[in-house]
Amino acid sequence: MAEAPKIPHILRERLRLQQAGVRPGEHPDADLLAGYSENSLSSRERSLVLSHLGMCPDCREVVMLSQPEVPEASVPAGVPAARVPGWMVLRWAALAACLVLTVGVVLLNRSFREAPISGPAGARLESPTPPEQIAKQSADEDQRESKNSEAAMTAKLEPQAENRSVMKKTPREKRFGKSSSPEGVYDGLTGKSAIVGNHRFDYFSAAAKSRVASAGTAGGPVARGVGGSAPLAPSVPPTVIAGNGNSTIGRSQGSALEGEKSDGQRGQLADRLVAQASAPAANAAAESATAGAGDAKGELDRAWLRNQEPGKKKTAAEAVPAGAAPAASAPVTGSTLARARENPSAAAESYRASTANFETKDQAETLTLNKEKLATATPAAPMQWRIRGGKLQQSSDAGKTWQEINVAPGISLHAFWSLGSNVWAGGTGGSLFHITDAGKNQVRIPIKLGEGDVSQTVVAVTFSDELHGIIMLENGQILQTTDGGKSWERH
Amino acid sequence: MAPITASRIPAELAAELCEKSCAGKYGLAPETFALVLEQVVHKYLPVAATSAEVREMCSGLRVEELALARGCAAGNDRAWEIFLTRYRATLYDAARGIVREEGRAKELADSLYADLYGMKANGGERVSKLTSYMGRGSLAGWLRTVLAREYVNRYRAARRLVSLEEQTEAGVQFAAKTPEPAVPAANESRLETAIDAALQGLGPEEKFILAAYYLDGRTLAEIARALRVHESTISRKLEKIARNLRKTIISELTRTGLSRQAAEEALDADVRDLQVKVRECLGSTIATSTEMREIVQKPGSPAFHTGEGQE
Repeated sequence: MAEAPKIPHILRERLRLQQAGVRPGEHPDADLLAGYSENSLSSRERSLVLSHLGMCPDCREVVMLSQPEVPEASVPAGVPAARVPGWMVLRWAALAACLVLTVGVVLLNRSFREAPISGPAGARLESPTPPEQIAKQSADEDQRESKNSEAAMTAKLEPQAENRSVMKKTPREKRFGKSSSPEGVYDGLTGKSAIVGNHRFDYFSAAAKSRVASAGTAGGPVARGVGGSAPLAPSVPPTVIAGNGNSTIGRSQGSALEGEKSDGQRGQLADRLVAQASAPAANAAAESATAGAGDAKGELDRAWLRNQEPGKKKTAAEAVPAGAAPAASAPVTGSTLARARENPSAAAESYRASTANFETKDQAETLTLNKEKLATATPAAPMQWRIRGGKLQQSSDAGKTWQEINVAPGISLHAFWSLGSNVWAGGTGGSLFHITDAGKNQVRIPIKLGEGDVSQTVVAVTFSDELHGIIMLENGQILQTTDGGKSWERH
Repeated sequence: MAPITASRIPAELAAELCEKSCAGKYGLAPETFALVLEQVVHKYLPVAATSAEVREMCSGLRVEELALARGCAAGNDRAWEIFLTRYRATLYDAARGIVREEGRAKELADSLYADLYGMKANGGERVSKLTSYMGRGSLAGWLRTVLAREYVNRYRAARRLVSLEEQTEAGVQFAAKTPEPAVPAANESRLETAIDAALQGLGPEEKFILAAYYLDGRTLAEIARALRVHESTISRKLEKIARNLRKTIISELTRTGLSRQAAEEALDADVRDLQVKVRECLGSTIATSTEMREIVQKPGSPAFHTGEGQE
């Protein structure tokens, strides 16, 4: 506030002389003065009282003294008041706080809205002839075959998938951008829990539906329901998601398909990841990776995986005899699998017929390669992975027991990706680990972008091979590497 | 108070206000309260006021507090009980806010209590000060105003009754004499006329702000509180008033034939400076003559003593 101006002394003296003109008894009564102070007089009365106050020092004194006490400190006359009053500062501070909060909520909400997207992606890869009957049979068969909790969960979730073509969020999830699961709630800000509850269920449903839809074209294998094993692209090895609704289990396929990747396939992978760029949950990328389930090869992979399960090896061997390897490793559905058991040669014919529908020769060749690998692959106990409480866990007995991998103390892991014997796990503080040899070897991959290290939490990880990988940070930023994590660039 | 010749308040309005005021709770009959309303209207509205004006003013009255005050004035115990419950603390707080000293504040508040109760008999009849409350503002505000006025009256009375001893102790004998008015310059009469005209042209609020700030030494915050505006508003208004005053005065002076520069010099000239200069001139003259005398006369001579005695 500017200092009040000074007036000439003579002006002040003339003003003082004019004050002496008021006679005693001409003063307004206490009612009028009180009414003036409380602004309860009419405009005419107020004007009269104010005119008197301008001329009467006594009444001015009375009015000033009768003002109710105000705790705030007054500024002496002639002294400049504070330029910015405290309330004004507080007002701007409150406004700034609201602005920051609003921007934060909007950004967070936007990133969560863009999140989970594997359902539609899976629908893109949907085959032209949805074999619902086959899928149903395969689901039944799968339920019969599977004795573990994965199948039970799948059976529980499968009906939901029937009614959903895309993954839908609950209103609460839309509003808060996080799962409302009672068990595990992922909060993108705090990163308290990496594994989601309902969110995961939704994803499972979408993935299951996409598998059902794609099974026809593939002519292929049983929709396991639990798996979500459909890769992002044909080259991406399947990750089987199993568990009890709030856990993610990555089942390594082995290295059977690692050599099949092409640049085009990696591009497809990248596109899919862009679609799920803002996945809120820590394992959103892993979820979406399992959601595609589109093409014949993916189904073939799942069939292969199923055959690798303990206790199923014999069945697989039955289904894939040496002479009829193509039939067994071809796109296998429940019915074709049954037929293959009964009549391998007929199944082989069926497979050949189905391969004629493939779009490119490469795919057919890939499938042939798969068949060979499938026939010659040495069954090994599949390793399953999951994240619980920010820790990476592995299971070598189909999820019956879990061993915690002590990756890094103090770091809460949020996402992982398994590829053969390789596992990449990302978490708080921009941490990313490359874990090999069943968790025995762990190497931290520094995430450097430009000059500085990235400190945001890694919420999604995917690798197409040991060199090419994509991660997503909690702020929605997507980084990719083409040299195994030595250098990163924005995707 | 002049007698009320005819009722100017509609009966239904009087009944409505009486019901709203809960006058019966304080022992006031509806007719009595209607008479109180008539007194208020008679005091503040001219005879020619329209019924709409009467209704507007009556609607703005604090009828509940008015009934309470009149109930207290009539000696109703229930009314006094409520009054003391509601306003005792308010009264003492207001007294403390005015006097800033606990003992004197209590004395001031107690003296007002005596007036409110009507200890001063007027012809044998107890007259309460609360009968003068008309409900134009809140009773609390009225009490504060009455208290402030009582304080100002006491202060003025005390100033008039200062004893000679107190004046001596206060050092009145050493007080400087009131400076004689300077010899009016040729342009001064024109300047005073121009200033008076400019001050007369100010609005009521502008005069209030100007007087409160420059004469009473009130702070911007105090003035702002009295006018119910923000402090910065008062600051801006003060600046604007001073600028306009100066502009008007100089314009008036130049209109009377003075050059602009001369008008500004005349306005900025401080009369006190002029007096100081005169005194300095006179003082130097006196000092020179004294020195001359000291040089001419020797110590012990009558003139020397005379000179010391003068000092």
